[in-house]
Amino acid sequence: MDQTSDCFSVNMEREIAETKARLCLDCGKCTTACPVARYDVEFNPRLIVQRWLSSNGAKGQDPSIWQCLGCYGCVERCNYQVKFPEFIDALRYEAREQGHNAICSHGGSLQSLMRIMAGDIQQDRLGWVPDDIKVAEESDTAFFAGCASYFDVIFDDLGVQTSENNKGALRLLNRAGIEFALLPNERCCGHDLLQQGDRQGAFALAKANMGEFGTRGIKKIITGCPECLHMLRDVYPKITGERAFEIKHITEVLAPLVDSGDLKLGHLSKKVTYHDPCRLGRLAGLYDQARSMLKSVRGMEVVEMEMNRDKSLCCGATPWVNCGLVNRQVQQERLSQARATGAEMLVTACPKCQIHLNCAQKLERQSVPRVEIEDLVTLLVHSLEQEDSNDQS
Amino acid sequence: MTDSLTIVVFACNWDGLSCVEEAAHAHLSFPASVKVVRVSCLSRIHLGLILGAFQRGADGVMLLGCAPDDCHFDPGGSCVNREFTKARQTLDMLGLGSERVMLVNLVRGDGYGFVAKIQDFMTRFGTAPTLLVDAGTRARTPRVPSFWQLRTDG
Repeated sequence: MDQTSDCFSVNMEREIAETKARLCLDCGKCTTACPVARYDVEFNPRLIVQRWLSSNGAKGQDPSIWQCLGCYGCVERCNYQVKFPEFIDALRYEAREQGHNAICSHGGSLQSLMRIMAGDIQQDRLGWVPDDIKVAEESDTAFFAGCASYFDVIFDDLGVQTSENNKGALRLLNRAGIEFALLPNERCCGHDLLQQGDRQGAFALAKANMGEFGTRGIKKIITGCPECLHMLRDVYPKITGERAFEIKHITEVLAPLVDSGDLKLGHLSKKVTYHDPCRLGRLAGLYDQARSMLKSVRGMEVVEMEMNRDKSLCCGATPWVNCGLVNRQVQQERLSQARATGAEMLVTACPKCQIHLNCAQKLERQSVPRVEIEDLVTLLVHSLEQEDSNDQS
Repeated sequence: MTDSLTIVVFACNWDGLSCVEEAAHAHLSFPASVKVVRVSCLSRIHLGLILGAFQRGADGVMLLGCAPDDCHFDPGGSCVNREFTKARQTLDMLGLGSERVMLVNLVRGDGYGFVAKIQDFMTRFGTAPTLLVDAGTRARTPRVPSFWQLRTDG
């Protein structure tokens, strides 16, 4: 055993200890809560932990590890908060080191994109910013746009334009008088590479982003993407060993302003239901901000789905790997829950939830419920536009 | 200079590949750094394969297919056009430049046409430094044995 693998196995043990997997009571609550386990009997979080612990890690690759959605639904129910998704991340890293890999969705285009971004490149990615949005040349606050502009190109066939969410966020920030800069060479946050076990790629992206923040003197970051929020808030400090900036999700920035009356929202007669993105809800604990803003729109009725807040069902998203029938079934269940509320629209605050729930509806099966999916911030901007046009008429 | 550029040519099994073969039959020379990958139809090509080529160190990607309206599979042309557009837009945003991907439609057995297109393609970005994007994730980034080691190494 060379020094690297020795070092790796020691750290693997330490990581497993940090996920608290050895505290597992073998109760099976995780499996009950798991959206994948509902549809795939082969996938059983409790048994995955048990198998690994009983064999003391020395075993062949367990193919079921690639099925985990990383939604943290199991962690919510676990008596000891065993961090099963992080346990899975560690197993995926180990599996990748041994030459195994997940089946990449979308032909691996997103993985290649992320790995190219980790290289020494100078992007030209701000073409989506309209002229009417005021962007500061220099500011210590940056808006981290995420990969939305790339998603627009890749998911053009779905008719989802996630850059619209960012445009909406910037318009509301302008309206609230919050100054921000945009980063022309911002990289992917690395969330998906990390979640599929490619730590080298994720760390390279993190280092490139940290370099960009450092050069531009960024102290505060606002983002519209819950996955970027999770990476920048929870993972980057672990990678760099320091917390160099403050990071907030756009709902955290806008909700207090709406509550205090400093940011007025418009009027929109609609019955909507809110879907909690896993990273924004269970990981960041931001449940009320979005709901309070939706309720502040005059004429808007907000109804809850059967599974909401910390019990919210995942959109079936994975880090762009192993997307198959089970994911479709999870998505279909979520869409059915939305339909059952009688809401006209499902509102979410995550571009990936938007993409996945729209993608599920592309299936031409009668059994797939049809629900309009909209981004939270875009909807708030629509309410303002609606009011402006009413004022003019 | 341009000889060192790595060009991946995705050639369709029909008219596209026949042009490459004709170039060989006619003893026409083109740089050895041109790598030809045969596919059943250009509609097999998607953004993932194009970006995958760049990620692995290609400097340019050429999609070589049948003449317009002569595709052996009816929707082939529209499929490749869609993916070609996506690739151009993505490469522009990445700052690599949309000129690094080229869609070429040639009639069957046009070996001279293929070599001319390759030469034209290589001069498009002949002065640009060779991309080593794959090195960004593989060579330039130190191998990190674990999450925690990176932190301790700074």
